[in-house]
Amino acid sequence: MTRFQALLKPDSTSTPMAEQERASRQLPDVVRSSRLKWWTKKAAIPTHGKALLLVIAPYSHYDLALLDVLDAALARPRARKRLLLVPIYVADLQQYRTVEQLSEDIPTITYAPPQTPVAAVWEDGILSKSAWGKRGRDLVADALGLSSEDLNKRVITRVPKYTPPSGEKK
Amino acid sequence: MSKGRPITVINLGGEGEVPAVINQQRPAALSAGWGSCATGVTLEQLALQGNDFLICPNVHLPINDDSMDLVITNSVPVDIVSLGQPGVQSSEIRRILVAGGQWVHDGTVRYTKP
Repeated sequence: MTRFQALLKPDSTSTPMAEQERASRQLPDVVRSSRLKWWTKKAAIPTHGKALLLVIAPYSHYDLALLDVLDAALARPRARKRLLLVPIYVADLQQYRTVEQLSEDIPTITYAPPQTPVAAVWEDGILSKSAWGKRGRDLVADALGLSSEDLNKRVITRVPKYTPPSGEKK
Repeated sequence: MSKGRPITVINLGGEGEVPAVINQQRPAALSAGWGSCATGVTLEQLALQGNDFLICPNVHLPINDDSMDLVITNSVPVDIVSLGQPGVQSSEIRRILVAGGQWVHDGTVRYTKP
C-alpha cells in the first residue's frame, strides 16, 4: 500500500517542484481516505488517553513512507485494535509559513526543525513529548507501542534509492 | 560526461545515503539538533564514517558553472520554501551541471543538460 508515496509519482511532463506542490494539495484528501486523521485544530486533541500529531513534509519520501507504513499497520487485524487507541493526526509542514505558526500547534517547537517528520504526543490533552527526523519516527513508534527499529527499517526500505555509475570521487 | 577527468557528483541535501559522493547541507546541519533523517546520526559521525560535506546555503552553491557530471537530490524541497527556508534551487542545478550531465531526483533522471 503506497497511497502516500504515490503523491510524489514523477511525471515526465512535470517538474519536481510541481509534483511537490501537487503532493501538498492532495495530501488532505489522501489522509481523509486513509485510516489516519487530518489535523484541523488543536481542539481535536482528545482530553483522555494518548494522541499523536505528525507534521510531515510532502516532498519527503521518508515522511510519506511513514504514513504508508502506519496506514498499513492500522489495516492489520491484530495490530489495529491496539493502534486505534491512539489517534494519529497528520498535518502538512507547508501549511506553516513560520516557526511561530508551528509553535501554536506544538509549543515545544521553538525553532525551525532541521528535519521531518515533526512528531508530538499528547497525553490526557497535555503535550508531553515532541521530536523530529529519525527521533520523530522513534517517538511515533514509542507512542504506538511499535518497534522503532522495525518502523524505521520499513520506512527506509521504501525510500527510492539511486546508485550512481562508479567513478572516482572529486 | 567525464571524458578523461574524474567524475564529479554531488548530493544536494545529502546525508551520506549515496556512497562516495560529496554531500551538500545547509548551515542548519551544524546545529546541535541535527541528525541524519535515515539513521539520526550527527554530521560529525557521518563525516567520521567517511562522508564528505559541503556546507552552504541552497540559493547559491559555491561550485563552478558546468562542473558537475551528476547532481542527486532525495526527499528535499525543490524550488519551494519550507518554514521560510528556500529549498534546493533547480536553477543552481542547471548552472553547475556540465553539458550532458544529469539531475537525478528521488531515484529518477529528471534533467539532462543540453
